[in-house]
Amino acid sequence: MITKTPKFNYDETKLELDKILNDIRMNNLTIEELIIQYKRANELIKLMNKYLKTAQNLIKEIK
Amino acid sequence: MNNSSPDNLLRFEVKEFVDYFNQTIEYAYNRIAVIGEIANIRLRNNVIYFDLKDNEAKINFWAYKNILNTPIEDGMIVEVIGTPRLHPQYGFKLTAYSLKLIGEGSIKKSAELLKLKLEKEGLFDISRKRIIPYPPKRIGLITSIQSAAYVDFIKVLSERLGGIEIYVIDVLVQGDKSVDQIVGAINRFNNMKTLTDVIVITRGGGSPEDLQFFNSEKIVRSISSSRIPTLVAIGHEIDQSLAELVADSKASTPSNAAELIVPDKNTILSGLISILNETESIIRNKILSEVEDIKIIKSELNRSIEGFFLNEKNKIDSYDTLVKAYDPFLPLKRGYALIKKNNNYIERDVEFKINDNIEIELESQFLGAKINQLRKKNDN
Repeated sequence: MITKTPKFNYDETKLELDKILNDIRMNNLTIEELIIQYKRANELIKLMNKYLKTAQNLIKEIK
Repeated sequence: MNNSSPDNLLRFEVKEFVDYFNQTIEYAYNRIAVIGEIANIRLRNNVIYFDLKDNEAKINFWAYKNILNTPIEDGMIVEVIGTPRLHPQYGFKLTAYSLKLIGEGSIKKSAELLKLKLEKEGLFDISRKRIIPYPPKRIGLITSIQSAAYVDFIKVLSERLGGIEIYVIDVLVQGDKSVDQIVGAINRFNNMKTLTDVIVITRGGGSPEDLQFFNSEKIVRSISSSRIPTLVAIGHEIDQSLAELVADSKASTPSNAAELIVPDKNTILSGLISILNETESIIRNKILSEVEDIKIIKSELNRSIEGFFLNEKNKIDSYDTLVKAYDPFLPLKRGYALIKKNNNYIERDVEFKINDNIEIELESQFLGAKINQLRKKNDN
């Protein structure tokens, strides 16, 4: 079965990142949880950077 | 009549003589023209009585009032066409059929009298003047087609603008009969199924005697009551006729009439070219202005986009800095260690026993270890 990749949503990603940061700040996470959230936060930052770069390139092409 | 008398004289009863005399004189002088100075004018009902005189003689005339085209008064010089008759009661008189003014003085005086009268009626008021459609599509022309006026009008009109329908009614433009013919022509144009846009009445110049018919009350009133706007063009140098004064528009010559009612196609063409050039210039400037506006908008848009990306990039960098501050392995770089027991990180104080196996995670290596000593941190 082919499943469609969920469409990347920049704003939702930012919200998720905010939530992760908030959770970390609350200091209620175990180290394992902290490591997982830390990795996820880095992934999200990478995705956002990539998305921003792609958008910039697209606009350059349009110009 | 008794002509068998011994002295060979014709003998009549009075009435018999009157009839015989009239028969004879009518045969000999059926219609005659007499020129003289008007005197002793009287008006009774619709009949006008007057004398014509000169230094040596005087003749009585009578006529129906409607033969008068213009006002007359004592002292005017006129030419009267009529028939001599001997009236059984009132004696010898000429029955007048038409009356024409002679001499510039009489003509001018008569026109002034009529002008005063018609002015009081408001016939010459500016407020009565109508605008002639410009250019007209249909022209009603009243003139003599034998005249130079006709040729000039048509020539100038055709040269200036083609495609106009011209309806011509050929009339006499001077003489007694001209008045009724011109009035009849005006009426015909006014009774056409499809009206013309303008009636042009024109003739060339002439002597005051020739032009006096354009001061006729009948013509002036007919022009005044025309449903169709009128233009009168009579070639002259000094005085204007009453027909011109009452018309909606006037021109100095037949050619001038044509110039007034239609534009010159060459002028139209150069006007159009000028409008075209002006329009082209306006459009070009508008496009250039729009192009400039678009450039400005594009530049602003680019600035906004760049600003947006810069802002977003800064935000992401801030996130990155924040996230990195919470890196759980960061303390290892500063020499701290994480301890695992049974593959779980030890977070706070837990119970250890001698010989418990633990794993110590340093920055760059893992150490396996066994507890060989337990001592409370507050113990000395």
